[in-house]
Amino acid sequence: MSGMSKKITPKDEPMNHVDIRFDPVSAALRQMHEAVVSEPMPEDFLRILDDIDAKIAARKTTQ
Amino acid sequence: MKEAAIAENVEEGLADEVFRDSLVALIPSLRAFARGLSGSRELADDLAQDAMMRAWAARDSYTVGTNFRAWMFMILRNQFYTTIRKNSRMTSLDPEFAERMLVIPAPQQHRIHLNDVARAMQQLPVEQREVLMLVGANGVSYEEAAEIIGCAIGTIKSRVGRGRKALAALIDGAEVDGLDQAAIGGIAPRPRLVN
Repeated sequence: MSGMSKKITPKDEPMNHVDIRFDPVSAALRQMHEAVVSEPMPEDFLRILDDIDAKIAARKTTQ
Repeated sequence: MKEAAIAENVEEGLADEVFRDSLVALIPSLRAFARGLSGSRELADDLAQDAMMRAWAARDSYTVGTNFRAWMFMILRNQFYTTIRKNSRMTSLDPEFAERMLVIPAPQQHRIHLNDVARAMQQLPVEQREVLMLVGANGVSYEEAAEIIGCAIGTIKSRVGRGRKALAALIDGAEVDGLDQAAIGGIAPRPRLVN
């Protein structure tokens, strides 16, 4: 493989490497979003969906 | 998204189920958007639930083939603005939400605490906060954000830029003021990158 430049892997990077592409504001916004998205769905939402399901079922029986 | 599925199933009488499934798929994003707007878990979930019920009631007015997510975010956003006019609590950050915030896993030089970010978000003008939540947090495109908010793409870009700058400044300010230093275990200064 002589003549080809060596591919730099993360383990080759120095321990004090600073990733200048990292944007803390963007990362924080995304993580704020992920923190909520990963929460289990509260019961109140499930009740709304049950209500919707009941309406769908009722509509089917009347058709 | 499920717009195509809705369109395909309208004539088969299955639209309600598909509409319902589309709604379910959006609940996490609706909750996150509402949380970022209001800063309150309780009020955010009220907003998201109101938006769901309004969307269901108005499902016949949804234009098949158009952006369902944008339509839902518009309903939620309208609900937020209606509520904020009546309720001054909308500007307070939910302490439970702040408490659960984690330190961003990032290079040590970049560490900031999400508690500070969440608090700083609530200090931003709402028009900057909403675009940061849509574009920065939710990954919505500038075009879609413009559709949701009802303004030009250039306006969205401008608000995102100003919001990001203001948020960064507020985060820096929080560090200077020493907020939550003990809880965080020390924050490294925000990096000053030289062009």
